[in-house]
Amino acid sequence: MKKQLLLCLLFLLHLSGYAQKEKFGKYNSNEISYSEVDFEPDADAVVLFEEGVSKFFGEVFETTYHFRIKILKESGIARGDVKIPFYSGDNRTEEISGLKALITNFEGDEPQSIKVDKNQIFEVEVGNGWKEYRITFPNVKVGSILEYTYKKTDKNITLLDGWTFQNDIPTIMSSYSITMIPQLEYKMIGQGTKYNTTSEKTVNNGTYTWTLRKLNSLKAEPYMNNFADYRERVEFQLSRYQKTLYEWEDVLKNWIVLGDEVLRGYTDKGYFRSSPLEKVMDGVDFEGSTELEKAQKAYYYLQQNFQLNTESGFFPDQQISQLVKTKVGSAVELDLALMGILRSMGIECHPILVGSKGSGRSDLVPFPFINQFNSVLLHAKLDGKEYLLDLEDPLAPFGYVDLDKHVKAGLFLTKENSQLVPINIPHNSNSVFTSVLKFDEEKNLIVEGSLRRYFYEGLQMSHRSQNLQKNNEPLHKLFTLDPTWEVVNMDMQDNLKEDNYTTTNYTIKIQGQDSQGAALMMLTPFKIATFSKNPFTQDFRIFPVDFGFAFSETYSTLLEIPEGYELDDYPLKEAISMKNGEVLFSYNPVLMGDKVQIVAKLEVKKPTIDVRQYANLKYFMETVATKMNAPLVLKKVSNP
Amino acid sequence: MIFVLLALWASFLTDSLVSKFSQEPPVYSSISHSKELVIDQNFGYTLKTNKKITVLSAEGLGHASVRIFYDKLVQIKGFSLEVIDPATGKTIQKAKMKDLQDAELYDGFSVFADNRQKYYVVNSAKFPIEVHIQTEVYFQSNFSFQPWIPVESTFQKLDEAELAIIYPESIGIRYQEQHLSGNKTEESLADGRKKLVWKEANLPVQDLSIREEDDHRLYIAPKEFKLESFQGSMNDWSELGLWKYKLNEGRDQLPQEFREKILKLVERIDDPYERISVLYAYLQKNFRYVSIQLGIGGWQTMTATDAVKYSYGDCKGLTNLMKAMLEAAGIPAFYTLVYAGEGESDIRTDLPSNQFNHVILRAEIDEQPVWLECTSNSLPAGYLGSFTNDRHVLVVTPTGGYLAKTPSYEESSWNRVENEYFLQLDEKGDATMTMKQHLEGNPAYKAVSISRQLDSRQQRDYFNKNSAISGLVIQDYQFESEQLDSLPIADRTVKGIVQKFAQTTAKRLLLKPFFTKIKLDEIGFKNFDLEETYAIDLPKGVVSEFNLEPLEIKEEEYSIHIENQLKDNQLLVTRKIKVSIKDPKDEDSKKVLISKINSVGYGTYHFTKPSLNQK
Repeated sequence: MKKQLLLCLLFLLHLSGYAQKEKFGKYNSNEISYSEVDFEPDADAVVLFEEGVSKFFGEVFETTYHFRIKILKESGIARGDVKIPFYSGDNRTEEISGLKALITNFEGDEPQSIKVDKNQIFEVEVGNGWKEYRITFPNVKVGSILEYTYKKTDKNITLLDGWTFQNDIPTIMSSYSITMIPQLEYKMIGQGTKYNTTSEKTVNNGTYTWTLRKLNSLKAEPYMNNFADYRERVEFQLSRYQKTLYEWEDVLKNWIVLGDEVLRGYTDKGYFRSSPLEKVMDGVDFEGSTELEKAQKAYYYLQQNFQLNTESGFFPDQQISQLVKTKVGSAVELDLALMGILRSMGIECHPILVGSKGSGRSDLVPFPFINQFNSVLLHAKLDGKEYLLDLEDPLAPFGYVDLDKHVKAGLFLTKENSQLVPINIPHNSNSVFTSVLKFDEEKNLIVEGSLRRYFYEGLQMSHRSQNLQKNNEPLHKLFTLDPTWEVVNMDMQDNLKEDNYTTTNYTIKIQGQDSQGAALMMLTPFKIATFSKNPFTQDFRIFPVDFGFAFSETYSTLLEIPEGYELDDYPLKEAISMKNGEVLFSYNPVLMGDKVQIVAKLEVKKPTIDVRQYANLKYFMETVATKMNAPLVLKKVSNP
Repeated sequence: MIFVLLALWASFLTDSLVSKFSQEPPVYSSISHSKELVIDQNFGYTLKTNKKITVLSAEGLGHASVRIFYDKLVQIKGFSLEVIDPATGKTIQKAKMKDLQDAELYDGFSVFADNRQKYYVVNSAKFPIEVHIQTEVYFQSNFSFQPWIPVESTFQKLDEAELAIIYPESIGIRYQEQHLSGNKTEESLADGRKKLVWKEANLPVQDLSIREEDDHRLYIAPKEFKLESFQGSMNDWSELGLWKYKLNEGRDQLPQEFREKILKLVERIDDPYERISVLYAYLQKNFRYVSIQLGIGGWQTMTATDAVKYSYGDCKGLTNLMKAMLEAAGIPAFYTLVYAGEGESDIRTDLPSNQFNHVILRAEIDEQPVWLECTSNSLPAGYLGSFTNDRHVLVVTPTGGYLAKTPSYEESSWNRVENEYFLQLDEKGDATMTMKQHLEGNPAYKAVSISRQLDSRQQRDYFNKNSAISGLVIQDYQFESEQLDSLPIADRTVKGIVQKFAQTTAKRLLLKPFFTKIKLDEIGFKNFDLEETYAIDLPKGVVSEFNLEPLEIKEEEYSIHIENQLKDNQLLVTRKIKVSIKDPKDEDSKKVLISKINSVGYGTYHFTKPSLNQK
């Protein structure tokens, strides 16, 4: 009991050590002795403390930043170079001032601090209005504490920067406070597991403070492209401001207002005018017996005759007339042009705003935060059926939507009636691997195979093969093949538009499988397989495993047993499943006289696997990989 | 007894069986261009470029986009771009200087460099288009010239290219042609200047496989040159080295207090190598590499005093400091220029010119070199690693420069790996594993580098990804490095569970393939020695089906020796591989060689079925 009390006290002491504002250059004994992050012992550096304090000065928003980082291992010494990016633009939208930095090393407990000279801080114009301050800390070594502080003013007060409580190294404590003024009212959204559970929140005379502790580092992991969506974060958007003593003006107060604002932007850029599009449509056959046929013609016309540039976002940069003239535009511009063409043919079509995966938030919050959207897709009603359309991908067939836009919901835009709608894009992006293994007269193993990939898996194949073709590289680079194998032929047929699949046919010759008439011959039946190697090698994960979508892979190999051999042994039949049936695998050998067929199937039924299931998934996938590599054993017949 | 040779077949394979699918490269654009390079009496020069690019498809748009480098010593004087529809002759797009975007030219590692670029991206949905580009750039110094490359892009057809160089004879130029087959003319102008003109036409279209040494190029260098206030000659390596010496002269003065500290560090050490080692270790422990490219176009070193003050420096600054430290301790040391980079071509030794991007140090003991890479915090004194090994370098001395060659580290003593595995199967088919690995030379250094770049979780994952035994869950990972003089040594101990190490078929117990796979980079130094032993505790009652006789393979470029023993339910395997590559090989050939070696004995170890309880 005493021990527990002591632990509680220590915990409180530890908390109180960071509960008050930290003084620049003053370190407590915990910080001086800190050498390993208990919740992430592999970390080579740690943010001991970071704080943002925001205030309004008239119409300027100012945040004071304060960071304290400790180097824990040799590989962390590179943290001695720090970048502070800010957007200056043409109008000095953001400005940095009061930048000071300090490094402290300890001889025992004795601090030896060095203030970073001005000539060790560089201001760099990065481009496109962005600038950076770059600090090079001197004397950085294991045990150094790096500390820096600065003020940033921001003229944009509609959407505030907010605060991200996590870094690419672990963070012991991260705190953000904002002091509101009566004339401006903001809506706040927070996200993240810790934010929603253990964050310390205080309100005091209009100052709101959030403190989060013991935050894991944010780092990319395999099968997790959108880890930014898991950041612990708060954001703010202006909801209303005081115009006069008695009069208040609402800002984006509901979805309808937000939708109308966005639609007004599209209207201002001419995307609801029909005349510029008439130029596009002039002389082009968009006619069809059904609305679907017309829409497909319009979609493919734009896809084939317009080029995508690299601009992103849900607001068009160009006027529609400019787009029509240059025929080069962003995905949103092309989508809106498609909408225009469809509407001009009397087809009902509306844009839907979405926050794509990896843009910071894939679950919408029930307040009209404009920042949660970053791209667009289209909703069209064709012959009474609903379709989602998107020109983001120059190779995607009609009806495919960029995978990052496969989110749960979006904002359906229609004048005075915009609303959140669920998004559901069903597809069977499966793969079927079939092959026949036989021996030629020279005892070479001949593998005749075919790989059929459906929907988005097929689209990925289409992209990869086109890239190889563009670079004049052989198609067999689609796969990782043993360099001693001879690819006799390989071709790919793209039937995505017509039938939603691609087919890759190949013949591979493998010499020496029959090693000089050895008594036993071992053959791995699956020469090309996605999961013959376990992709999960890390011993633990921070994020869930995200396969992107549910899918299945079916493998079927038929081995023709060569003359003079008989099947002596083969891997056993097996069917396994992860808990709750999220992932299934089956393996089934079938003997058919002088042939043997092996059929294997992996099914991922739930695309996102909870991080707590990672160890089980790793073991499961190792079982799959082992089985996929298990050999058939052929035995030489003594007297054939 | 039934037996099977363990994938012996691999040694009978021919050299490369993968079909190359070679075909004519596609053409995405065609180009005609002319350049005029006029060197003035002030050692500056103007480069005017005229290009006409016909873009045939979207893939060729990048060929028409413009990027112009500039810094404090390079000014962009003129730019115009016009896109024309060849079908109608109408101008579709026009751009002038004001339309150029501006951005930092970030090299990926410098904290600060003066390098910037102005750029313009051409977009079009209609093809073909003609893009006419004119640029004029003034370079304040003729210290170095970009090579003239007639075929500017891959998948581009060259119609014609012309380069004219006009120069005062007092400054002069030198050049080296590489695979040029067109016309060259020389002319003396009325004002006394010389004019050289090269013309090339209809050169073959290139794809991504083009190598620098196969490309059509003209390398250009000055005879006399000036960089800010530093004038020099470049007729031979000695002159260039002397200029470099003068550029940094006097910048190696150590603060008195620091100098005394240095002397104290070595006061009781007589052995010169040990003196070097101690001072080098001091530098490595107390100074870090930070790339800040300032001073005379980024060529002059920061002072040793500043390096001491900040405890950091770039390659020039740290090398200059180390040189000063060694000289203070009575060890001769020479600033040395190198073209660094893993797998990079050697410099053109017969065209003395600025071909360098990095600086190392040559310390000397009895005139024998002890090479030091001063940006590294981990290399032993005398070992350079693959970033700067096996290439010509320019050693800078007070009396001039000379070319030397860095060590190749090809001997097998620099390329050794020893592994010792112990595995114990459980009833589920999983195995506990202990591995002890001893690395010497290049493999050790690579492991040390990884340990310095990655955090320990990433290190474990890196090991796991590269482990021949799949399904490893690491429970304990220890890594230690040391050095035997200049030989890097590393030891790694890994303990863990190998999931599904064994599985059963209807009749057999099969072990996962477990032999260490040799990797491409390991044979990059031509020689490589691998010795490994495996002790695998098997379930009771297993009987081997494979030949327990030793397997010996001797080929021209490698030898393999495998011994197997099954005793008291323990499988003991010893595997020795020696690689000794005779002739230089391209990457594809090396991949084939590795595949051959790795496949020998890579088959499955299998036993008649034991009573294994597969779950």
